Amino acid sequence: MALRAARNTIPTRPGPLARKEAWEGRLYILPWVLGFLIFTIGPMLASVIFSFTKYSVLSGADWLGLANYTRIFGDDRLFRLSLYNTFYFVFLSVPLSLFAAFLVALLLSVQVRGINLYRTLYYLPVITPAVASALTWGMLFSGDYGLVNAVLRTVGLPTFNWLFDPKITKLIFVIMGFWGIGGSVIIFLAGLQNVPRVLYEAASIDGANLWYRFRHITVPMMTPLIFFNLVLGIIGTFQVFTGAYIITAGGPANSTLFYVLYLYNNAFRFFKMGYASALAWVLFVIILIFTITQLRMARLWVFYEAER
Amino acid sequence: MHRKLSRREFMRNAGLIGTGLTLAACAPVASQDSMDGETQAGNREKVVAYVFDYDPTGTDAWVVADEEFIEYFTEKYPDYAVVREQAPWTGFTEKLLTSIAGGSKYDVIYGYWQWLPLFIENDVIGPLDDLIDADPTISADDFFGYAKETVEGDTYGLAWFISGWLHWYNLTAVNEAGYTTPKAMNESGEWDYDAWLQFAKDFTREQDGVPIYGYSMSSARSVSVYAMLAWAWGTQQWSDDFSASLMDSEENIALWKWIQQFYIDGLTPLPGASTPDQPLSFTNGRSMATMAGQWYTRNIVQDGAPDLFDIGMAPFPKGPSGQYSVAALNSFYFSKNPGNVDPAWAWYKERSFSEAAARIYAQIGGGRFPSIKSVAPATVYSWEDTEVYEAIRPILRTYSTSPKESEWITFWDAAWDEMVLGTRPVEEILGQLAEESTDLVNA
Repeated sequence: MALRAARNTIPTRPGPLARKEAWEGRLYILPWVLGFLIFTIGPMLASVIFSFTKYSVLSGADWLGLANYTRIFGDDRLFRLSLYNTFYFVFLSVPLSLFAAFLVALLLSVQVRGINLYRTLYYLPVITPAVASALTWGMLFSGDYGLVNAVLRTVGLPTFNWLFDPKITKLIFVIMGFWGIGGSVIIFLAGLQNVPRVLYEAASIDGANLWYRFRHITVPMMTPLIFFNLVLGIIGTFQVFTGAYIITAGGPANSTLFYVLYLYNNAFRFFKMGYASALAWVLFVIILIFTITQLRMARLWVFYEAER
Repeated sequence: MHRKLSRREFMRNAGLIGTGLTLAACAPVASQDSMDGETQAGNREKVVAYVFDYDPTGTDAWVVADEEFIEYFTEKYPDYAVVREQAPWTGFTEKLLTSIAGGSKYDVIYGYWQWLPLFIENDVIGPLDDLIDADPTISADDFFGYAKETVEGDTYGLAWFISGWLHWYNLTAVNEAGYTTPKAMNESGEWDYDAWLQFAKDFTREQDGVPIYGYSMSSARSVSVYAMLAWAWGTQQWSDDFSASLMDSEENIALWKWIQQFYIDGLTPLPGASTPDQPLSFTNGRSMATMAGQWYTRNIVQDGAPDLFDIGMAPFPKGPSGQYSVAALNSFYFSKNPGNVDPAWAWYKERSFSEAAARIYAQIGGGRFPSIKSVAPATVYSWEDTEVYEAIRPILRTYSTSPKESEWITFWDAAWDEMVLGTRPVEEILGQLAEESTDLVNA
């Protein structure tokens, strides 16, 4: 009782040291906040206005009202095509990449000799420059000289012109996506190491086999991280760009004309910055809808230990 | 006396430095005038022209030529200074756009025909006609018609680099096979589109398990190069006023079917088949012939092809409606609102069509045609066939850029890919392309 009373008498106003620390903290984050305000929020707000104009950067903007948006949802065939290509890629790439990342994390959580080296190797592609990766993939899948076809030829299997077959090109980009799973792997790995051992021990005592422990302990305990990676994965995958820009330039037959590449073309190749801004906001809304939907659905399948 | 910094002090100082740097980075950009004061210390009194130029880094001869030309210009015009901002070819327009968005203003801009409508539409560049008329040293008649980039009667570019397109073939292989050379066929009037296709068929083979292609057709995908074939077949991509696409015309359909044979029969490498470091190209002997402009002499030399085989050259063959060669142009464009007209125009003239420029820039590749009648054509390499150059000179023609050219090419490329892959009948592909194209220019 005395302790509780004493606690209640502690003044809520922070002391001089805490106030100093708070100011220092604000100072430390100031560069980032300034950068965010100037380089992110500023252009974002400007792009809202640009999206209602005909604007090329090179000359002044002309107010168009909703014309850009009307065209996007009206007669812009390439908008529909790029959206289709992007949805196709997102729905195929995100689940497969998540599954692969989870699988790799499980393997990397096994304590074997040199495990730290393996973990580093799996993360390396994440810090490899995207352009270098794209060029490397382009060479691997080259029709005549590519290593992939060389291997297929060696084992007597048919070869393909991987980067010039519209039926295959999007799948190639999905495969390339595996190259960047290192970030998700690290998150999964951290999560796997935080699953309480006691749960596995208790389940083992009750006679649960490996699959049962995985299914009823590992997966439920990992659902917050699966959810986290899913949300980030979808947001990131909707913005797929570098590979398509470097390797295929949207071809063949526009089969890899992804949404952001089309947006980029409008802004920097066709000098239609106003239209590109409108496209950017449409993408923002699409991603927002997906994210909110996931947040709502998360209640049905994501298990937060702290809530129980 | 040294005092050790505590972690807290270190962090605080680092934070302050970071904040200072960020604020400095966000400070207003220095004006071009002040930039000149710093970077062109010796040129304070000079009148400055601002040029957004091509960055030829990696093409040594070009870099040397640029240096020589600047030296020549500054000697001839001691009162003028030129400030050049340079960008590589890849992403050139993106860099120009962001540079202008950042407050830079340019008097002269390195150009490319595909960008012309964009630059005009956005008031980046203006016509040269008034400058030419006001200049007592030149007149519009001094220039060859094929050297002018004109839109609706206004001249926006007088090409500094004119490259006529022609056939390049492996003369050694042709001679070894006892085959009549395309040049000889042209002289005897037998060089037509059937002969071209037959040449590709006859020289497509396997050598030590490696496919050797009879002809590299990839450049025909370029709309300006395709136009040359279309003229020979009696058609073009657009109606004269650019209000309707002619891509579904009978002639275009027939021509696309003719081109498709090269891909379907494996006479030419498929797109995506090679890598930048190992191209299926003419210069390394993987293709027996190719089409390119005279600029290709540079690639031939760089890749060492003359050490591997003799180079043959021939004009493009005669089609049902004649024989043409497209003039590939590179021009400088002039700002619509130049800051200092005199130094900018002096630079433009000297760089584009002076005898000095023709002499200095000859080293980047031979056989260029001049834009001005008073300047002689330059030939650099001994193996260049000047007879062929003379043969294509009268049939040179310039491709007219359509409005919304950059945007249109997205549709063109997609249709071309479909033709190459044979996913649909050519009539259907071109029907859709014509519809998309007409919609685009009328939108």
